[in-house]
Amino acid sequence: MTHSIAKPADGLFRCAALSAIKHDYVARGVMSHPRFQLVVVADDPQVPDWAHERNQQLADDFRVPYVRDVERALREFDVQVAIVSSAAERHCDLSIRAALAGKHVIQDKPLTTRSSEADRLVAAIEQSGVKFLMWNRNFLPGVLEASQRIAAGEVGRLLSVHVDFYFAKDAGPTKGSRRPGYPPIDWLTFQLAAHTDGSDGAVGHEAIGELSNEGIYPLGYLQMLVGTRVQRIFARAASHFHQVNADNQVEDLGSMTLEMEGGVIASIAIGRNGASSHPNGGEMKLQIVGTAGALVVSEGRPDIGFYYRDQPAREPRQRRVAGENDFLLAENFAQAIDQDCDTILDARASRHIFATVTAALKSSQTGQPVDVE
Amino acid sequence: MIRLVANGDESRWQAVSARVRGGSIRGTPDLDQLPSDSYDAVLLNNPTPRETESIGQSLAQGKHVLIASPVELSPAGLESFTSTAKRAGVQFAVVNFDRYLPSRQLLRQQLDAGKLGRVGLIRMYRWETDQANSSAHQSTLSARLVLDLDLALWIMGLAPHVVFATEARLPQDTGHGRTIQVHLGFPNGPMAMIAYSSALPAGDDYRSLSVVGSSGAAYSDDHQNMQLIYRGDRPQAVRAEEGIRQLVNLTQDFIEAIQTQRDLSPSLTEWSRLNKVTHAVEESLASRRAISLEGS
Repeated sequence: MTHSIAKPADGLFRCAALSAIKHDYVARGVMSHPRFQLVVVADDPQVPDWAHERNQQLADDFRVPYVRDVERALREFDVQVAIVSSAAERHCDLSIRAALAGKHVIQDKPLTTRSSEADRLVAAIEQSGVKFLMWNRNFLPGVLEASQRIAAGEVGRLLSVHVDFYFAKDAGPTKGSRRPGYPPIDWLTFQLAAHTDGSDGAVGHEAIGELSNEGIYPLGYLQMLVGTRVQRIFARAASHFHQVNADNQVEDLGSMTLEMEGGVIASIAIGRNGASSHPNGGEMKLQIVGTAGALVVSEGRPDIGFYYRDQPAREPRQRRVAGENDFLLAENFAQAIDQDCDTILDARASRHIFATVTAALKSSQTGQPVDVE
Repeated sequence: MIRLVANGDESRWQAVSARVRGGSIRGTPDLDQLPSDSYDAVLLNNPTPRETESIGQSLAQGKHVLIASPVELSPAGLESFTSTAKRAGVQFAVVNFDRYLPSRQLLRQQLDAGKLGRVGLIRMYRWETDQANSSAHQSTLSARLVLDLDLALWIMGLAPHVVFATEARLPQDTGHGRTIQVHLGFPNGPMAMIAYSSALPAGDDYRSLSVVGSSGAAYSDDHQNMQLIYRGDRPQAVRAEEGIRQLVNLTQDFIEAIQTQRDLSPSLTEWSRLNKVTHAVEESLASRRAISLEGS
C-alpha cells in the first residue's frame, strides 16, 4: 500500500536520515540548503551496534532524536524527505520503504548491488510519484563550466567526452604485502577500522570495487554532458594497489570505453590510486572534443594552495574553494518537488548507470564489448 | 668523433651539434649532394618518401642509419634494409621520436628506477587538426596515433593481449577529422587508453600523458604547461615547449650507440610488434570487436 506524497506546508522539507552509517556527508550536504531540516535519524533495530553508534552520533550533532524504527520515524515525524546512506546492500530496501511511505528520497551511491533491487526501486519511485536523487558531483564548478560551454555551443557538436577520475587515497596495506599463512583481509572489518580517518570506501558486507562505488560520479558527468545513454562498453579492471581489494576480488583500478547513443564516444579512467599518487587528492579532469573545438577542464578548480612548515603529510596542499555542489544538488531536488520535474540524477538515470557498471564488469571478465541493458 | 648528417634545417642541427658529446651533426636539405666520405651516419627525422628511398644506398655505402618516425615503411621494406645493414656491418634503427621528449625520457628514468612501481594504467590524449594528420604510416590510422601506441607499449614494457578501438560516428558526419578511442589490455591486469582526435580547429594541438603505477603516478599534460598572455578579452594560453632537447637526446643516443656498438636492432623488433597492434586497432575499428593478440 502506498501513502500520499508528503508536501511541506511552510516550504521547509523535514528530513529523516535513514541509516547514516557509511558517511554522513549526504545528510550534511542536504542540510547546507536552508529549506531542508533534519528532524530525525532512524534505522532498523537489528543493525549492529557500530551502526547504532554512528546514527546516534549524527543525531547528537544535529540535536534530533535517533529512532530505532524506520517506519515509525517516517510516520511520526511529519517527514517529507528520506536521506539514505546505509551499507550499499541496504540502499534500495530503505529507499523503497521510504518511497512507498510517500517520502521523496535522496540516496547515497552506489544505487545497489543487485539489478533486481534497482528495478524494484525504479518501480517504487514511479508508482509512488515521489522524487529521487542519487547524490553526485555534477554541480562542481569545473563540471558546470564544461556543461555550460557545451550548452553554449562553444565546441560544436560533441564527438567525445573523457573523464579522468583518480582518488589519491590509500586503502590499507599494499597489494602483495600479505605474508604467507596470514588470512585474507575481511572487507567489512577493514572498512570499519578505516572509518576513523575517513579512508573507508563502500561500507557493507559485500565488497565493492571502484567501478561500482565511484563510477557513478564520472558516469553522472557523462549523463549530464552528453545527454544520451551508453549503448556499449569495453572495460578493463584490476586490483592493482591494495591488498583488501585483491583479497576480496574487487577492482581498485578500471578503465572504460563507452559508445553513446548518437555516435558520441567516451572514456573513463578511475582508480583509488594511493595517497602517494597525487599531492592534492587526485587528478580529476574532463577532456571534451567537439566539431568546433575542445575543452580541458580540471574538476578541482578553483582552488587555493597552502604550504607551510610542519604541514601534516595528509593535509591537502590545494584546497578547493567556491564549490556549491551540496547546495545546488539540494536546490535541484527542491525544484524537482516544487515543479514536479526530474532531478539531475533520477531513479531511471541511476538505474542506467548501475546497468553500465554491470556491463563494464562483465566486459572486463569476457574481454569483449558488452551491450548495456 | 662520429660525424652525422641529418635531413632538414641546417641552423637547427647546428644548435644540436653544439650540445652533443662524442660527435657532430649537420643538417642538409639534400643528402645526395654530400660526399659520402664526409660523414659516418645518417639521421632521418620524419623523412620524405625520397629520403626514405635513399636509405638502402646509405646502408650499402657503410653508413649507419637511424630513422626517427613518423615513417612510411612496410614490413618488407624494413626487412630489406635490415639485411643490407647486416651485410654492410652497420647499424639500422627505426625509433619513435616522441620517446626522446625530455618529459618522456625523465618518465622512463623514473620508471626504471622503480619509483612508480608496477604500471597499472597509461592514459594518453592527442588532439590535432585534420591537416596535421599526415598518415605517414602504412596503416590508415594517423601516424601520430601509431606513435602513441608505440609510446604505450614502450612505457608498459610489454605487448597487449587484447585491443579494442571505437570511433565517433555522428549522423551526416562530414569534414571534421577522426575521433578514435583505443583501449589496450595487458596480461595480468594493466591497461592503456589513447584518446585521439584530428577534429581540432586550426591551431595548436593538445597532448597529455599520465602513468599510474602501484606506488606513484606521473602526469605530463599540456594543461599544466601553459603560459598565459593577456591582450584584452580572454587570456591566451601558450604551451611551454620542451625545445631542442628532444633532438639532442635523439642525436646523443645515436652517437653513443655507434660508439659503443650497442645493438639497435631491437628497435626493429619493436616496430614489428607495433605493426601488429596497429593492425589490431584497425581490425577492431572495422569489426567493432575486441581483438585478441594472445600468442601472436
